Formats: sequence, structure tokens, C-alpha cells
Amino acid sequence: MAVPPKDLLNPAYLASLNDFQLMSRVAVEGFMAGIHRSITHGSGMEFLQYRNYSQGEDLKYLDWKVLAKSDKLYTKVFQEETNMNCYIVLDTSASMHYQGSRAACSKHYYACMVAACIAKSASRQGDNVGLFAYSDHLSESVEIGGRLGQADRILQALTRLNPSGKAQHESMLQMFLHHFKTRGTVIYISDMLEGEAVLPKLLRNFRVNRSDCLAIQILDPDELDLPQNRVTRYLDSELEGEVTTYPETARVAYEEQMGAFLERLKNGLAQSQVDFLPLVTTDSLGVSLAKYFDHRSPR
Amino acid sequence: MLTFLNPALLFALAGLVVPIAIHLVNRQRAVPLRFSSIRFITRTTLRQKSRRSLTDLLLLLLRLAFLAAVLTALAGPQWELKSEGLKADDETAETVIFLVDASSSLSGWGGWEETVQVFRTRLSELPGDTAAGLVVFGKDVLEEVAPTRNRSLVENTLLTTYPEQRAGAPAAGLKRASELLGSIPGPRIVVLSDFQLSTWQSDLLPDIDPDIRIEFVKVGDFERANFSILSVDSFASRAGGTRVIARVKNDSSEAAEISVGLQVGRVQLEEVASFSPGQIQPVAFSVPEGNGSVGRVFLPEDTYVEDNEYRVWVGPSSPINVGLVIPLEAEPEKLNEAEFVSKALSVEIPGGGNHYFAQLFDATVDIGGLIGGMDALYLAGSVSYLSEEQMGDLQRFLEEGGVVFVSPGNMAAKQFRKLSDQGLSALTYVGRTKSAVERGVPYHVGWINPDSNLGKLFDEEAAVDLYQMGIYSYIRLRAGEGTDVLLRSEDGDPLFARERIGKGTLLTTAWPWGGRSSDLPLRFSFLPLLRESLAEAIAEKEGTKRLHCGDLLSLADLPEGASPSDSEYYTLTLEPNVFVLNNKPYEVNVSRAESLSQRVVLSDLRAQLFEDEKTVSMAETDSALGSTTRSLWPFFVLAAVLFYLMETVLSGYKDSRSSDEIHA
Repeated sequence: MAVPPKDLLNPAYLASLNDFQLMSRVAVEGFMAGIHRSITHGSGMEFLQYRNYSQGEDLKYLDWKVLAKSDKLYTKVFQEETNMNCYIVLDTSASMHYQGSRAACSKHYYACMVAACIAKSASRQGDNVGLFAYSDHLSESVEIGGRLGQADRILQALTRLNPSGKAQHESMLQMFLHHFKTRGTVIYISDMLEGEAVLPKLLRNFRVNRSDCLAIQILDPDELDLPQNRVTRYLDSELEGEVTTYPETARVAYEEQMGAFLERLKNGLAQSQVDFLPLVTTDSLGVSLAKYFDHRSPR
Repeated sequence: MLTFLNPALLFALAGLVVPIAIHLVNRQRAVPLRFSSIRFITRTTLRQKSRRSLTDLLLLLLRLAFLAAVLTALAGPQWELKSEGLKADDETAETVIFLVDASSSLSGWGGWEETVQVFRTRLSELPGDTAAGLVVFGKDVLEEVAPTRNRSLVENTLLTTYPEQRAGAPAAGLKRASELLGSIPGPRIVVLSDFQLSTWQSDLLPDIDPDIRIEFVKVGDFERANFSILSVDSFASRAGGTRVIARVKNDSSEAAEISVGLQVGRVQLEEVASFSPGQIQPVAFSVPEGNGSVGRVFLPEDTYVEDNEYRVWVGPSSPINVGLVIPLEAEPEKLNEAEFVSKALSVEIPGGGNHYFAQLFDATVDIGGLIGGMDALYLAGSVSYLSEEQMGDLQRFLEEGGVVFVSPGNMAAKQFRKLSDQGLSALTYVGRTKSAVERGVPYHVGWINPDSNLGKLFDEEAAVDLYQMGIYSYIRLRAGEGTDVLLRSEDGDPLFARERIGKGTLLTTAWPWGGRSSDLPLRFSFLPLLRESLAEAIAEKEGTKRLHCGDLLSLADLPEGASPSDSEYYTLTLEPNVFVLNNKPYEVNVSRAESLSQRVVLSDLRAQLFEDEKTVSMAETDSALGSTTRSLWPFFVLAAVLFYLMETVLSGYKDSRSSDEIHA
């Protein structure tokens, strides 16, 4: 009897592996197998396009095969492939700790899995990768680099993280900006709750100098629909405060306001030219990886 | 009719309040949840959730029903089916027997008047067709009237009865009352008593048929001050005359000063003493010689009369007669021992103590003739010379309460063999020790039996003298069964032993108590050792007998052929009295048990009376009452199981629905 293939990118399965090394390897390999593209080809120079030969150009780029077939002169244009810089910025505030009844892991763990997969695949491609994790203070920082074992350093740093404290987006991202020198891709991972006003402005700063920015928002399914069915006393994980309510009656208003919040956030990020990827913790990790590779490919 | 084997368990049903309270409290409680952000959550009022609370209510009811069924099953429910024939009897009126306490304690403080009043009220309150009976008890049943509708007969009987001056004993009255009720249906006993502890605290109370209902009605008042004379002793005084010491108790909770009087002949003395609450204090009087021999100690100021008087014999105490029997011809040296013993006994101990009168007899004396005249015999080595007839008389002397003191002579082996052959002693002769001269040092006492009177008399300091006594030679004995060894030598051999034969006592020493065998007669220990061991054996102190009012004289005290129930002797002990019979003074007083002012706990009393209630109701109801019972507990267990299953199903349904709601 054939064993049904396991969905290697299912967060429930990956979370059960309980090891970022193994998890990221399984996820990345699984993802690569899925898109059938070898990443070992094309190192060095990458063919970009043909163009009509102009006099004086180096003949070594002339496409001799086309000349033989069509008697026309075309020059091959290559794009020089440089080492890409990938910065992973992770929000580890207390709100990331939440895990609802339907999710297999907390938002934080999901965020770490996403970060691990990106770090692993970036490392495999020979890209430089770094990590910056914060809440109200700097939680972990791995200097960007492409040396051997860089991915392992990031994975170990991820293991040490423990979400706590209130997210201080402004001060911490400003601090990160000081160290952000060379251009590259910034992958920003957070739940972005209560950050719709400041985050678009802050992330816009990374768009200067032809850098690229991807904002991945990770939410728990419970945060979208408030599924509790009995009287609940909700305690805020970051702010002092609580509210006791009967969710069934508060649900409609909540969903409306949450929708409005997400809309505002999306618009704000769009205006800042920041790519936005909303995820819930039950989504396949493949989505985030695909998006990453989409960014990785030249525009 | 539904009855229960353990109805007390039904009180546990009150515990059902707990789950109800939990249910009420729980409904309002919110579940705390730490959430990412409460920014968009609005506070709402609680929705009326009739559908859900209906499930909850059903669950609660099922759980309550389950608990109730289990508890009821444990309480042993029974359905009692009575036969038709008995139903008719049940409808007849009940029968009441009044059991009235007429013991001495009710005669003070208007207790009896109150009893009569309560009795008349109760009697008049009975329905017209109720038959009423009466049993009045003191020490025995004093009066009884079988259940009758003639109320005046019952009433007049009680009105002509008065409490007697004796301690009460309700056992006979209770027994008689339940006998009078017999098989009459609907029986009830109303007990009118002060429920004094000493009257009712008895193991002899009969078990009452559980069908009889008992009602306890308290009368009398114990809350008042009472003084009582517990006992009075008289001693011959050193200065002549008699010393009388009365032990007086303040039974109240307040300190007080009271005068105590003594009347002897025409002399009346009075002493005033102050008492703290509950205190017992001796009050001493000195009576000059020649004023008569009957004393009356009394408390002139106390209200409760019965224990305010004590009759006491203050005349010369009758001496204890000790016969000294020695083999004059065979062992004349025994005279020396007899002399020492006789002198020790005839010494007058100042301030009290027994009087002894010693008489010397030869070993050929008719011992049978000494029975009655002598209280004790001191046989100094003479047992080996007694004839068989004499030995038989000796045995009779012992069995009738005499004391025999045996010391060894030259023929000690024969002496102990004769005693054991006669079945008087379990001591066996082992041999004779070397003399102290051969040994170099004398033998000593090594152990005094600490449980005996001697052990208490010779405490640490006093015992030194006894331990220092030198014994030059003694007979080695082996103690048998039933032998109380009082003294042992350093080697552990018995030196002095006591054995009980019938009412009497046999005291055996392993060395003669004369001057040739030890230095005992020259020591301080000699007098107390001899006199105490004799005194302990002779039960009646000073030879004066003490009786309570209503006690009968014992047959042994009376002249031959007389019976204790002869009116001549019977009337002697009816009232407090002092009399002399056979040269022995007797004191008759009201029992002091009646002056104890403590009540018995009525619930304990009820438990004692109905001790075998359960076995009776289980074993006898079928035959005696013609009723049949059916145990209902299996039905309740079945119901409990059913409720439990329903609860499981319903709670499972509720859980599945709530999880559906979450994932919806």
C-alpha cells in the first residue's frame, strides 16, 4: 500500500519536528522538489537578453549559433550575479506568544520557522544573511555574512528567542537602520498588531538605496474571528488591561474592526512600496518561501 | 411505611446543597485568557443563554439525583408491610407507665414535691381513654399500679409514697415497668427522675424492648449549694478519749463557711470550717472519755438533709484477737518468738491503729473452738505437730475469713508438706540455708513487692531498715501458683508470702520472727511489718462494720439459726443507726452515693437502654409484630447507576457541542 505523501510544508508537521535545523532542511528541500528547479545551475554570470550587435563590442559575447542559423548578429547580454544581502527582522514581543485552539504552534514559533526556512535557503544560494530580533529591547542579533555556518548561527539564535515585552517598533527599527548599510532584501516578520500607523513609515526607510522589503504578517486564526464560546476575561499580553465579554456578541464588531485594521495596514504598506504578505499560523510554509524566492529573482 | 436502618445517614442529604451552590456560583465566572491584543474587543453584557443553561440544569439535577440515590441506598431503606390484624390494634390508645424515682436524692430541696406536681400535670394531660400505670422505685420497686383507667388510684398511690433513705437503683423499676406493659400495643414509659449520675450509671440496666417509647422528664435541682459528710472515722486518742474525724465535701460551685456538729451522749461539739468549691476537708473533734459510744456528726445549716448526718461508733474499738500457738513441749524455745510477737501486738500505737489482743495456746489446742473467737492465729513452728483434725479445723478457720500466720520451726520440711497436702499452700520446701556463722555474713532482704501494701508502707527511706536486717538462716522455698511473694532474699528466694484461701489469708514466713533467727525483733521495721501484714489480711478496719440503709446483715454476723430477714435484724438497718451485735459495733448510714450532684447524660442513657435495638428490630419484627419488611436499597442502587449513565451521556453531548461551536 502506498504511503500517502506527507505535506512537508504543513506547519503542524514542521512544528512537530521541534528542531529548526531539521525543520528548515525538510521545508526547503520539500519546496525545491515541488518547483522542480535546480538551484545549482547558473552561478557566475546569468544570461539576461539578446541585443543587436553594435560595432566595437567584444566579439566574445556574439552568439555564434544564431549567426550560423539566421545570419544575424546578436550579442548575449549577461547580468552579473552578486551576492545578495538578506536581512531578517523579527518581532518577538509578547503578543507573538499567542497560540489559539486551532493552531499547531504559536505565532512566534511560526515566525521562527519562516525565518529559519528563509535563512536556510538563502544560505544555500550563497547569499549573505543576518538576523535582528527585538521586542522592547534587542533580543538577538546575528551580523550579516555568508561564511560557512552562518545559517546555523541564525538557527541557534532563533532557538534562544522567547517572546516577551511590548513591541517598540520605532526605536528598535531606527537602531537597526543605523547598521543597515549595504543594500539587500529586508524580510520583516511580525504580527503588526497596533503598528499600522508607524510600521509603513519605518519600513519605507528600507526602500531607499534600491533595497527591497517584504513585510510578513503572522496572525493566529483566533485573532481573525474570536471563536471563544463562553464568557471570557481577555487579558492584554502587552498592555495593562483586561476586558470581560461574551465573544458571541462581540464577534461582529471585532471582525469589522480587525478587517478595517488589516485594510489600513495593507494600504499603508502599499504606499510605502513595501510588499505585504499576510499569513495565519495554519498556512503552509510554502507560501512564504515562494514569496521569498519571488523577491529573490531579479526584477 | 418507609423506614431506614441507618436514618442518621439521611442527614448527609444536606450535602446536596454544595453542588447547587457550585452551580450557581460557576455560571457567572469568566474564563481568563491572555490574548494578543484587546484593542478591538468590546465589553458586552451577558447574553441570556437559555439553551445552554437548560443542559447545565439537567446535568445538575442528574448529579444531585445520583448523590441522593447513593445516600438513600446507604441509609438502608425498608418498606414495612403490616398485617391487617395489627392495624386494628394500632388504632387503639397508647398505654403509659410512670416510672418515678424515689431515691434519697429526691428528698431534698423540694425535689419530691416537684416530682409529684409534674406527675399530676402529666397524668391530667393524658387523653381520657389512655390507660396509666405507676412504678415507684428506690433501691427496689416500692409501689406499682398496673395500667388502668382509674386515674385517682394511680394518683393516690404516688401521693402516699415518700422517697426512702437509700441509694436508688432503677434497674428493677425499669424491668417491672416493661413487664407491666407486656404485649400491650403503643407502650410508653415516662421516667420522672433527677437522673443523678450515681443512681443511673449502672451496668445492670435492662435492655428495653425497642417498641416501647421512653420519655425522660427531669425533676429536682442540682444547682444549689450542698455540703455532705462523706465519711467519719473514730480513733482512740493518746490522751484518752476518742478522736473523731469527719470528711466533709462542699459540692457547690461557691466557697462557703459551714459549721459541723458532733453529738455524743449529752456532749455537743461544733467546729466551723471554710470550704472552697468542690473541696473535701477533714474536720476533727476530740471527745472526752465516758460520754457514750454512739456519735452523730451533722451539718445544721445545710438544706439537703440526707447527707447531713453520719452515725459513728465512738466507743472502744473491739480488739483483734490473735491466738499464738506454739509447741510448748517439743520446741519450748519458740516461747521467745511468741513473746516478741505478743509484745509487738500489744503496743498501743498513738493516734489510731488497730488494737490487738494476743493469747497464748499450746499446739494441742482445739482450733475448731477458736473459730469465731479469734481473728488471727500465729502458728510458730506448730503446724508440724497438728493432728489431722486440727488441720481440718485450720482449713475451716481460713475459709471462714480467718488469718493464719505460719513461721517455720525445727521440722520445717514436715510443716510445708502438711500445708501443701491439706491444699492450703502452694509453697514447697527446698532446703535450709547455711547458717550465717558458716557463711560469714548474714542474709538480707533483697526485694519488697512494690504492688503490695508492704511496698507502699516501706517506701525508699523506711525500706532501708528492712534491707539492713540480718537473717541468720532461713528455709529455702519455691513459690507455686497463686502465691503472692511479698519479700525475697538477695538470692531471690521467697522470704514472706501471702496466699488466699476462701475468705481468709495464709501468711508464711521463711524464718522465725524471734530473736534467735534474725535481728528483726530489735528493728524499727518489726512492728509495722507484723501489724500491717496482719491488718491488711483482716479486712474490717477497727472491727467496726459499715452498712448502708437497707443493706441486710450477713449470715456470718448473726447468731446461729437467725436469718437476716428476721424483723429483729431487718429493722436494725432500715434507718441510720449504730448498734452492737456479737460484741461488734455496726454503723448504718444513708448511702453517700446519693449526695453526688451530677446528672447522667440522657442520650447516653437512652443508648444504653436500647443497646440491642438494631438486632431486635431486624431479627424479631417479622415474628413478633407480624410485619414483613422489604429492603429497598437495590432499587436505589439501580437508580443511581441509571442517573450516572444519563449524566455521562449528557455531559458527553454537551462537550461535543461546545467543541463544535469552537470549530464552527
